[in-house]
Amino acid sequence: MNKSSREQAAAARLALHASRGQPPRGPEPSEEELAQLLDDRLEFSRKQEIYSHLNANPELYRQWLLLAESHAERQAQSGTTENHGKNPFHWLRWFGASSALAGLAAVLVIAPWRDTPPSISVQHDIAREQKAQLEKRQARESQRKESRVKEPQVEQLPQTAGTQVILSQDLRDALKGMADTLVPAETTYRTKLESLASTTAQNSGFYAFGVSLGQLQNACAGDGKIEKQLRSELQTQAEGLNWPSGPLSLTMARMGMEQDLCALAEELREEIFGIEAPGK
Amino acid sequence: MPSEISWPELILSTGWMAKLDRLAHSRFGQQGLAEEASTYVIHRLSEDNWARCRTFSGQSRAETFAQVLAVNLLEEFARKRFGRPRPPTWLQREGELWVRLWKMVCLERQLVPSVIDRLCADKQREPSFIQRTITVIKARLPWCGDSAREIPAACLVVDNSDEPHPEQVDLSTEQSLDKAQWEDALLVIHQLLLSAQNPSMQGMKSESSKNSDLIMQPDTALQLQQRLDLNDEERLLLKMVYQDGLKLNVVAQAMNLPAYQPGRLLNRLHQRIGTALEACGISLEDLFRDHKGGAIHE
Repeated sequence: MNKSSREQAAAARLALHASRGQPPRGPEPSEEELAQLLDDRLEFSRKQEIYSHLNANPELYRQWLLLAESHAERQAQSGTTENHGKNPFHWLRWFGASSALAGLAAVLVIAPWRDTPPSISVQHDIAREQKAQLEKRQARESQRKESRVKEPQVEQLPQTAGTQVILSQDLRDALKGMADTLVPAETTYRTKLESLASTTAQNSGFYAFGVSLGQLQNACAGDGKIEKQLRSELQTQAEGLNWPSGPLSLTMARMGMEQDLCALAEELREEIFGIEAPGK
Repeated sequence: MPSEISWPELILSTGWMAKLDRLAHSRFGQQGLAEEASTYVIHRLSEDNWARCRTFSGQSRAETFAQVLAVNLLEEFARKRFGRPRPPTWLQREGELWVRLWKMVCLERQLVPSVIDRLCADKQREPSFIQRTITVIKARLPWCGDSAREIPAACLVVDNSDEPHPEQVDLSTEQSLDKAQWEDALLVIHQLLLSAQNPSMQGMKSESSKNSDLIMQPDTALQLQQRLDLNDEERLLLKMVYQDGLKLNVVAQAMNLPAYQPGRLLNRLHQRIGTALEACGISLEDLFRDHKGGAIHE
């Protein structure tokens, strides 16, 4: 633990102690509500009430931790590859994201967000994000249903099949940059990238960005430490590129604004594995 | 629909039984004890024509509901087998992970490597975090994990009742501490500072340093509390990360958040906490420096 982490840990513990003794809100959760919490089937307000009980009741918190760990273990054991095939329409959300992408580009250019913490409260942020996720999920569900009616042949695709998409030359250049930079141990990922990437290396900004993404991936797969220089390079590149609409764009462009880059690199990997090159 | 669920079919299915075995093994470590606990859970679930299961109303997944029941019954089994634990107050103050480790290592005498393996399964935590905590517990409780020494009677309330012992009802740190005990919070920091240089010293000076210059006035505590204004989700996040040592991906899964969200929330929280501490005139950097009598060496 370095000095900064120690100070953060100390500050967090101090904050926890300072905020102790707050009474729980709402009725004590039933066993079924705990199950709902794990299944993410509770309304936002009730979820917050149950969190207040978890904070106030150590016995309940211990029980929930056991459940949550076992839940996480189960998800880890089910594997990420299983999830790739579950939703063959994963990429469809990008069609709805083009306007969001334009907005994002505006934010990246205009807002000096790094120096000024957002004024909106975290609670509102979570609520808004959860609402957005719910809407996205509902939209995906309805798109899936519609597609089932219109294109019954899609149902015949094997569960593990990826989604065929046409990637722009820019994004294929970025993937090429990534493929060229990944360490040899990442055989599967590199093969996947090469199947989607452009065949010749380009001296484009997207290729250079891909190289940085490859370095990020290597760092995350290694000790998880991201050099300050790499972080800043990724941010500068993500801000400077003219992102095409379509799959992968938004995830890549977010490299310019997210803090947890390894989590984002993982999202990108999942997304890439969900794509199948045209003509396969 | 709940009425259509065949509980014997679900609970006795190979998949669910395997899950129960994993839960029991994760809780008790030893194979024999875990099997005994699983059998106990099945027996209790099937009682009175699966009466516990039939309270299910269909709001969650039936499998998850059965899992919640199973975890409760595993704890019930542990209470009947080992008695109701009564952890020392200083230990509770450190967080739930400490109590859990105390139960596993000191009361149930589970083997340390096996405890570390299970709590760090799937890279949920850093093994060094667990090892450090066990070292401190053992340093403060020399009888812990030593089969040649008896477990002090004060640590257990042996009974078979499911009702909590009256003396245990108010054991919660959250509920029992009042503002006059604010100094304890500073002692936590004190311990963190000590542990940074020498992990085995963590927690050793709690009593003796109560009169140190680290003690803060309750007014400052109240001021800090008001400035922080943490909501329940934020407190839970801090607890999971800093008291229980869970990694951010596990926290994200447990709280059903996108993988990147806990990291982002923590960053903002640290900014807020830093600002609040500063406004209250608390400088952790000074505490670190003063307490070591100089700069910290990395």
